[in-house]
Amino acid sequence: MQGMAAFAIKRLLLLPPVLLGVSIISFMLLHITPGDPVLVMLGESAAPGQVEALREELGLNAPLPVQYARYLTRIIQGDLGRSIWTRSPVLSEILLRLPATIELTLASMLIAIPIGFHLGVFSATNRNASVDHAVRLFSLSGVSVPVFWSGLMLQLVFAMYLGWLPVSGRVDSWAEPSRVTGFYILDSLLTGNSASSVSCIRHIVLPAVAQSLMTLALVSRMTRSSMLEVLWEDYIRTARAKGLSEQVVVYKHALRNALIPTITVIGIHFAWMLGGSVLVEVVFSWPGIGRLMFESITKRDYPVVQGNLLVYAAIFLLSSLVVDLLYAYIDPRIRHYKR
Amino acid sequence: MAVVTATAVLSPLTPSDPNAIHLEDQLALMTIKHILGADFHGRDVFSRLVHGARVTMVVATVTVMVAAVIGTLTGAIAGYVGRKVDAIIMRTMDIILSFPAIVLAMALTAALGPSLQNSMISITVVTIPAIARVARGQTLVVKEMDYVQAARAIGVDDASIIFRHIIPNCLGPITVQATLYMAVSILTTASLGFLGLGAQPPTPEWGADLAEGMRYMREAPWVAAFPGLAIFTAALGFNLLGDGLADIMNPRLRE
Repeated sequence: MQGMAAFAIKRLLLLPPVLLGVSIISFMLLHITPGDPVLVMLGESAAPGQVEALREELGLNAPLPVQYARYLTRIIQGDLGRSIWTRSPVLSEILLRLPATIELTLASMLIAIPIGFHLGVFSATNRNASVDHAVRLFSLSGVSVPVFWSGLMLQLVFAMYLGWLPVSGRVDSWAEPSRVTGFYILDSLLTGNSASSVSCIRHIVLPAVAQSLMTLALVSRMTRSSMLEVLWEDYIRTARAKGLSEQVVVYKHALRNALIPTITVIGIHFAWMLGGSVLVEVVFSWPGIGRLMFESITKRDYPVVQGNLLVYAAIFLLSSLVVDLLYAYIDPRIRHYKR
Repeated sequence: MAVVTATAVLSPLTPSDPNAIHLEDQLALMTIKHILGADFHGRDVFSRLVHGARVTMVVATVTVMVAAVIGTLTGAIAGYVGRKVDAIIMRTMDIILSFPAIVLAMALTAALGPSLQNSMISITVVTIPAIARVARGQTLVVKEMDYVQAARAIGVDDASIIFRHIIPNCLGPITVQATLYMAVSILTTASLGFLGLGAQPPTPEWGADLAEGMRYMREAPWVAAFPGLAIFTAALGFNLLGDGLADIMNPRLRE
């Protein structure tokens, strides 16, 4: 596994400059605001004393490089500042809401991957049949639909008109589970609170479906094209010539190799979804970091916006790393590469 | 399939009705007098859709064009010059790509002040890395080709090589990417508009209109439904176009 370790190290070494750059962007956010950021945050009618106090607190009176140095030292220690609105530490505000977003993303992936996958396989094995075209059209549509629109339409049909599912929120207020992990569904199961579980699951359905569409479409497309590429390869023909049933050919041989690019896509999408959840969270009032981002932007709560941005980048980079490592692990060429 | 649908969808480019957007202040929401209904302020949904189409197309085109130009140049330079310049440029691209696009676009637009221009700037910034990557990839391939080597051997200066040989060869894949990113740009613009970070009222913009329509979902769902449909159709059209282009490019390359 020597090649793998080398690869991992090489990959890790790429991180620090990127992280540095990320921190610079996050830092600069406050400073590219035309006009006085403090006034923007507090509003035009703020008392001069307040303005000055905030400026001191944010250290805005120091020269720029000094400010950045201080900023960097603080975030390395995990101090992301305090929210202007709630006065609580930014990091804790984010961590409070992070499980909600992760839960939503996991649920969406849970829907998108199996369905997308089977659609892709089905489409590939029935190439050019009308079902294939239907699936392809569906895939293209899935990528073109604005997420907030599909969310709204789902809300309209299933929640408002049919009344089958709740309109918004994460759980009915009377059914909130005691906090163990922050993942409500898990918590309610752990504490044996079945009413809560039901409520949570009912609430997660619509937002998860809305969010899964794009990934579903992409997964099915990727699966289809990888499978098509693989299905006509020599070793498949050999397998067929050997007399193996079509079923075996497809599932045992073709699938395994078709999986590789698909897995990369899935990994990327997990990270992407974490960020893309903003729109779904806004539509469904889902209390995650996406909605936090939106609210803090609306309220001009810059420390929260900056901190949130950093967290997003951190998560994204982490998941990319995991995906790359996973990919390297699966792809034998990288594994066995020795210098 | 691809081209036909695409052209059908590209017709939103025609800003046909120079209709006044502020129609008689009739109360909300009817259907037949206004072809697609009216919104809360009595504005005709259809006219807003058409004018919104113009806004959307302008934004999408400008953002992608600018991103394409900057991206291609940066990517080509990175690929051609290589080594440190390449490393610096690609690290910068990576940094931008570390953020989910919508989130970064949101933050940038918010910091700069919510407006159509600022949302355009943000979207351009977010789109550049993808194109740069494609350009760089192509450059690396083209760089090794015989005629490029020959030109260098003769002593043609690097700038000329980049402009006359490398970039023209990048255009194929970049056009495909650009088309696909038109769709992305349309969706992102609408998303920013939806969140209140893009076009400000009373400018008609599909996303913003949709957000407004959200408030009257129960009584008049069409106010929100139609802008969404418009966004979808436009994005779909470009995706189809992009896909079609990609298909055309492929077999030709294999020849």
